[in-house]
Amino acid sequence: MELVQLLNEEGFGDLAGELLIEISLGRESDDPFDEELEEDAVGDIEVGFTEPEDVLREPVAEADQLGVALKFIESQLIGPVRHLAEAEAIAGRLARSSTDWESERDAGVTALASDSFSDAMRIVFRPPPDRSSEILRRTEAPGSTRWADALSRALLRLAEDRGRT
Amino acid sequence: MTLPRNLKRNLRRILRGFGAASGTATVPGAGGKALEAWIFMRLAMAARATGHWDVTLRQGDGTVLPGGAVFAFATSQSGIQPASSTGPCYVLLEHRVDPDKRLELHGSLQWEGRSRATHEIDVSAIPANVAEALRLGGGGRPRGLPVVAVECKDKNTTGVPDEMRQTLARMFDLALVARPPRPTPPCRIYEPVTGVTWGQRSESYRVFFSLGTFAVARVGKFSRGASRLGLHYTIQRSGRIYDPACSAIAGLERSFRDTLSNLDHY
Repeated sequence: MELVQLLNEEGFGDLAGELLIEISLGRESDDPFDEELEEDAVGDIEVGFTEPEDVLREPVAEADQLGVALKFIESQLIGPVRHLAEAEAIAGRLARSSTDWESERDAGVTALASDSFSDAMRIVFRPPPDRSSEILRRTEAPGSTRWADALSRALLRLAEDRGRT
Repeated sequence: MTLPRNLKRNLRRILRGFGAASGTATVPGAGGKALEAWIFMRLAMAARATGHWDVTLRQGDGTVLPGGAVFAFATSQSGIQPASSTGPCYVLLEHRVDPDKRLELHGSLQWEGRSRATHEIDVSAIPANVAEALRLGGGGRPRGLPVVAVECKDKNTTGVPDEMRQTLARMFDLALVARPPRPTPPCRIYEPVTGVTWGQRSESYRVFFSLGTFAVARVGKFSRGASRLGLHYTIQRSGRIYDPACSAIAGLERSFRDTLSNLDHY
């Protein structure tokens, strides 16, 4: 698939491999079980039915592979960036004193991650001291999701184009 | 399927920019821990939002992280590190009225179980008196059942019973249902060198597991079998954690606030 090749060529080889495996394993069967709706049912030990240990999968038709790939990229590439950016924005707010924060809250100042990223604090990932791997950090401004948003829009255009053909 | 040339060119340009901006810091499995960092900060803010807790970001030597500095999130810690400004950062929660109620939130902290096996927990809370004893004493792993333990699974697949069994095995090994080696008295958490302790022992695993916030947070959902196991042992199933239409993160925050308000009983 061209999208997998593109991911591989642009430095996301591991992710491209995972996507290929995901597609070849098949789509997880649509289990109607939703714990948020069925918590009482889960706790009912009298029901006594058994369910398979492994999740059932069904093959992904070629026509559906692009959709599966787009969802995969959204959850494995775009989602983490957006949530790390939010974490950076929250860290920035936590770095302000409790008193300052409460004054803003009481004044009705509500800051979303995307609004307040000028005050966001950079989060880096430090390896343990006994490993020589690098500290992992983004180069984009803390709290910014510019490239994640651009990628999301590009994927949406792909999906729309696919829908038209 | 062949991608249209213009869309392909545009997508390549954006992937290149995305890679330069984020690198592997946010790619699941590549070393970055975006999901852990997000849950970590959401819980810290949930504590501050109660109005009962002062919440500060701390450097590895225990001092306040200055504004404009960088928060160094640990990707693996062999225990609480010796006091050092270059050590991993953490969050300190201090109750505004009761000075004895102090907790530290850590990322990727290793705890030591009764078997002497070590268990790395993605987001955990440790009583500050135990953490400080370790930090000032040259570092080390705390022993006992954390007050908060969240495992983060950044894959989109469905959580199966084996995953929940791993979590249970970890908690089983950590829970001090039997007293620690003498002279340490019965407790929930302790530090073996100085003997600093915290909390109470429970004689039942289910009672122990009901006192605190224990959760598996994943991008995908949970199977029926995994949910059944988690429900029985009070392990919260925070599935579809990124999905804004789901209440998973709100549920986790609520559980954390409940844990904070019930600390006296632990």
